Amino acid sequence: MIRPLKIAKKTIHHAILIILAALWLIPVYTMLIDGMKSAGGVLTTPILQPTGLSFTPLITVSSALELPIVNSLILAIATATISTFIGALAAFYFYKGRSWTNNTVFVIIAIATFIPYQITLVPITEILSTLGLFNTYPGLIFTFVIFHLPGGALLMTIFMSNLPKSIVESARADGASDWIVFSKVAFPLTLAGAVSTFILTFVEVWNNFFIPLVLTSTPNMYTASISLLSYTGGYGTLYNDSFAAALVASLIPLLVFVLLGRYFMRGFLALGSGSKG
Amino acid sequence: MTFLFVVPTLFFAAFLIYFIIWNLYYSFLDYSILHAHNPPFVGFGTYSSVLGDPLFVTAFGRTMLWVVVCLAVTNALGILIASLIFFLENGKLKSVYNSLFLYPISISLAASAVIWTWLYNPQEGINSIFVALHLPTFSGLSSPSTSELSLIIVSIWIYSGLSAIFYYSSFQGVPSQVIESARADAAKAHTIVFKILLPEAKNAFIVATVTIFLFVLRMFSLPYVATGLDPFTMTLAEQMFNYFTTEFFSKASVVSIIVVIIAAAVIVPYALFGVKRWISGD
Amino acid sequence: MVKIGLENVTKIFTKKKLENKVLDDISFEVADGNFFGIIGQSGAGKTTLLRIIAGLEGPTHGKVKFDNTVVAEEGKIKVPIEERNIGMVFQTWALYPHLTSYDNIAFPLRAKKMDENDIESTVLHLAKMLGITEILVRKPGRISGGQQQRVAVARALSKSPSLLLLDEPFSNLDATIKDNARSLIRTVQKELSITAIIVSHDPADIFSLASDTLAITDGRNAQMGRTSDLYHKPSNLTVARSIGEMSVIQGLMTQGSGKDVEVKLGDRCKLGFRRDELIAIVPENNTEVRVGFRPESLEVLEENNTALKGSDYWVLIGNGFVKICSYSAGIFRVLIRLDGLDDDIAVSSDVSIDTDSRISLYAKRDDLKLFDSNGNSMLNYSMSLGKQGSSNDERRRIYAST
Ligand SMILES: Nc1ncnc2c1ncn2[C@@H]1O[C@H](COP(=O)(O)OP(=O)(O)OP(=O)(O)O)[C@@H](O)[C@H]1O
Ligand SMILES: [Mg+2]
Repeated sequence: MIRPLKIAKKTIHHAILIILAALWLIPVYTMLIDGMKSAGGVLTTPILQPTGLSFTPLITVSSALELPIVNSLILAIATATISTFIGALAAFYFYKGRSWTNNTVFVIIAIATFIPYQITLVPITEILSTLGLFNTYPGLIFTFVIFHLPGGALLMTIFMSNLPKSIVESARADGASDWIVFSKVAFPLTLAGAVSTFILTFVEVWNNFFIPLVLTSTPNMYTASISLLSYTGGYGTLYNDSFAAALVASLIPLLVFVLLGRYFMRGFLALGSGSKG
Repeated sequence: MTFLFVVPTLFFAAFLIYFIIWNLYYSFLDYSILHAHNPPFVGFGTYSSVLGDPLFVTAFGRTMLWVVVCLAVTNALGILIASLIFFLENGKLKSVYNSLFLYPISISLAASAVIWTWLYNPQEGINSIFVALHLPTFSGLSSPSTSELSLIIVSIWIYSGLSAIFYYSSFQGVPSQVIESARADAAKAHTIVFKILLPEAKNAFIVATVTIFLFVLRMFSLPYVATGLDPFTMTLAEQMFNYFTTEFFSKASVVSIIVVIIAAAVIVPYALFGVKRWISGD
Repeated sequence: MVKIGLENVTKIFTKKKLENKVLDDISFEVADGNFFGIIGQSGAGKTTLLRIIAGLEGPTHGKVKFDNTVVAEEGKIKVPIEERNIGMVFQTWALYPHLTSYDNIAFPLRAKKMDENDIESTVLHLAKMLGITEILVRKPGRISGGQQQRVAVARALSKSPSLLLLDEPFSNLDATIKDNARSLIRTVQKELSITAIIVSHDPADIFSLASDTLAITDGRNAQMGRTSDLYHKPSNLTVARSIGEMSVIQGLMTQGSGKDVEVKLGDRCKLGFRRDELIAIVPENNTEVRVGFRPESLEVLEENNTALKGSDYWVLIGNGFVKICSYSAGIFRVLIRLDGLDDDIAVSSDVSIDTDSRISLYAKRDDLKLFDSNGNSMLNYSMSLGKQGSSNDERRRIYAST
C-alpha cells in the first residue's frame, strides 16, 4: 500500500525540480544554441529550436569583444586583489580589538558595503575629471575599490572571526609583530575566505555596468558588459550575434562559478548569515 | 600600531562618505546645465521640483512595486526550491541543483538583458510557442503594459536561487534528529517545512529580503540594456542617470539622497542586527 | 631566569556598564627558577591571572613586575607580550594548523629573525629532548594529542624564554599519558632552570609540578604557600577542596569541661579539642561547625569491630553502610553513608569492601579539619602540626587485626 504512494511522491518531487531547473536553464540553453547558429539558421528557426552548428558568430563576436574582455579582466582582477588584501588588513584590525570605536567603524563599513553605488554618479565623475583619471584604468580601479573594499573588509572580517583567539595570542607570545601575525598566521588561515572574497568581488566587478558606463567614453576602455549595449537586438542585429556576445561576455564569470561555485556560495552565505552559515 | 591595518580601508571609506556629503550639499543647490558655475542655493527647491516631476514619481513607484513583487516571489520560490532540494537524498544532486538555480547571479545583468530581450521577442522568442499552441500571447517588452512585468520576471529568475541558498542553509542548521524524529512520527513533508524548518528560517528571510531589496533598489542595467531609458520601465537609478545625462546634476543628487535614505532605513538595522552574527567568532 | 612579582592586582571586566571584578587584590612573588602553581575552581580567575602575567590583559589596578621592571600597571601594559620573552602553552595548545611541527617550533625563532642553521639545531635539539623528532614533518592535524602537546611545549621553549606559562596544559590529554607529560615538563623546567607558572584546577598537576601554590576563590587570594601546606593546612574549605578531596560532616560545637570544646557529630560521636588547638576566637555555645576529612585519614572497619577502640589516634565517627566502592591506581575509593546523615563520605582503602556492607567509620584525630559555618578554618595548625599523621604501617596493622 505504502510503497507505490511513496514512489509516486518521489516522482512528483523530482519532476517539479526538473521542470523548475529546465525553466532556469532556458537562457543558457538559448545562449548556447543560438550563439552557434549560422546567419541563415537564425532567419529560419525560432530561438528555442536548434539548427546546425556554426562558429562564425562566436568568432566574429570574440574578436570584437577581445579588448573589452581584457579590460574587464584587468579591472576585475586588480579590484578583487586590492579589496581582498586591504579588506583582510582591516579584518585583522577588527579581529584584534573589540572596542566601542572598532565596532562603530565596523558597522559603518558594513553599511558602506550595501550602499547603492549609483549615488556617487555626480561626484565621482567630477573628481576623476579633475584628477585626469576619467577613462583610465587607475580611475576605474580606484572607483571600483571604493565600492568593493567595504564588502571585502566585511567578508574578511566575517571569515577571520572564525580564527581561534588563542592562535593569534600564541603567535604574539612567540614574539611575532602584528605584521608577522597577520602575514604568517591570520591571513594563511583565512585563505579560503580570501578566495571567496576575491571571487565574489571579481564577478561583481566583471558584471558591473553602471560604473564603466559613466566613467568611460572611448571604445578602447569599454568593458565586457558595456560592450553588450551594441548587441541589444536593435535594428539589424541578428540574434545569433546577440547570444554569442552574451555568451562570450559571461564565459569567464560562468567558468568561475562552475569551477569555484563553492567559494562563491560561501561568500554570499557569509554576508547573509555569518561565516558558519 | 595595529591601527595602521585599518588605515587603507578608512582612506577609501572616506571617499564614500565624502560622496554622500557632496550629494547632500549639491542637493540643496541648483547645479545644472542652466547654472554650471556658481550654482545658487535653493534649499529644498530641487527636492520639490524632483518630487513634482511625474517621471520621477512613476520611476519611484515602479521601483517600489518591483521591490515588493520581486521580494514576494523570490522568497516564495526560494522556500519552494530550498525545500525541494532539502528533501533530496543525494548530496551531490543537492549541490548541483543549488548551483543550477544560483547561476544567473553570476551572469551580468547586461548579458541577461540581452538574452531575455530575444526570449521576449514576439516573433522569435518564447511567444512563438504560445502562438503555435494557440495559447494567449505575451507581448513582453514590446508593449508598455507588460514590459515592467517582463523585467520583474527576469529579476526573479536572477535572485530566486540566492534566496533559495539562504533558506537552504538555514534549513540545514536545524538539527537532523529533530527532522528524523518528525519523520518517525510520520509527519508530512509540508508539515516539516511549515512547522519545523520555516520557524527556524527567520534569519534567512531577513537576509534574503534585505539583500534582494538592495539589489532591486539599485536596478539599472537590466532595464537600461533591455529597453534603454524608456519611460515605461525606468527605475530610480535610471531616473538619476537620466537627470545626470541631461545635466540636471542637483536633481541627480536629490535622487541619490533619496536612494541613500531608503537604503539606510534597511541597511542600518540590518547591519546592527548582523554585526553579532558576523563577528561573534570562536 | 626571571622573578615575577604581582602587587595588588585587580581585574575588572566591564560589559554593558556592568562591572565584574574577576581578580581582587592579588599579590605574590615567584622566585627565579621556581615552579609556581595557581589553583582554583572553574571561573575563579586563574586564566585571567595568567593572561595578565603574560601581557594579554592589563591589570585594572596594581602592578606586574618582571624582576625589577614594571611590565604593567594600573590598566596599562608597559611591556607588551611580544617583548616579555615568555613561552606559553595554551589549554588547546593553539598550534598553527597550516604549519608543520617543525615550522611551529621554529616560528618564534623566525619571528626573531634567527639564522636558519641555528633554528634547525635548536628545533632538533628540543625535538630530541621531547621525543618528537619523527613527527617534525607532519602538521598538527596529523599527530596525536600527546604529540601535539609536546610540540606546543617545544614551541614555547624554543626561543629560550625566561618564563614558561602553562594554562591547564594537560586537561586535553588522556589520563594514561598525563603523568608522562607532567614529568616531561618537570624535567625540562629543571634542566633549563626556567621560572614557570602553571594554572590548573587539577590537584594532580599542582602536586606534581608546583613547589608553591596560590589558591584563588572568586578572584581573591584564598591561600598561598608550600603546596603541601595548602593540602594539610587549608585556610578554608574551598581551598581544602580545590587541592584535594574532602568530605564534610556538620557538627555542633559546645563548651566542654575546662579548657576544652566539644564537637558533636550526629548522636554518637563527640570530638574534643583543646582551646590552644583552635585559633583565638572562641565560638559561642552551640555553634554550627563543619568537620572535614581527607579520604586517607579515614578508616573503615566492619560494624562493631572494636580494634580501634581506645586508640589515641583514631576516633569513631559513626556507623553506616558502603554505598559504592570503586578503584583507581591501587587504591579503593569507598563512598560511605553514615546513619542519620545525608552526605556521602569518601574514604580511601587498601582493600575492596562490598557494597551495602555495614561498617564503622574511624577518623585519624589529628588529621581532622575544622571549619566554621562560613567555611573558614578554626584550627591553629601550628599546634597540631607536630602530630600530623600516624604511619601507614599502623593503619595497616589496625585493619589487619579486625
Ligand atoms: N574577556 C572577558 N570579558 C569578560 N569577562 C571575562 C573575560 N574573561 C574572563 N571573564 C570572566 O572572568 C571570570 C574568570 O574567568 P577565568 O577564565 O579567569 O576563570 P578560570 O579560573 O580560568 O576558569 P576555568 O577553570 O573554567 O578555565 C569568569 O567569570 C569569566 O566569565
Ligand atoms: Mg581557565
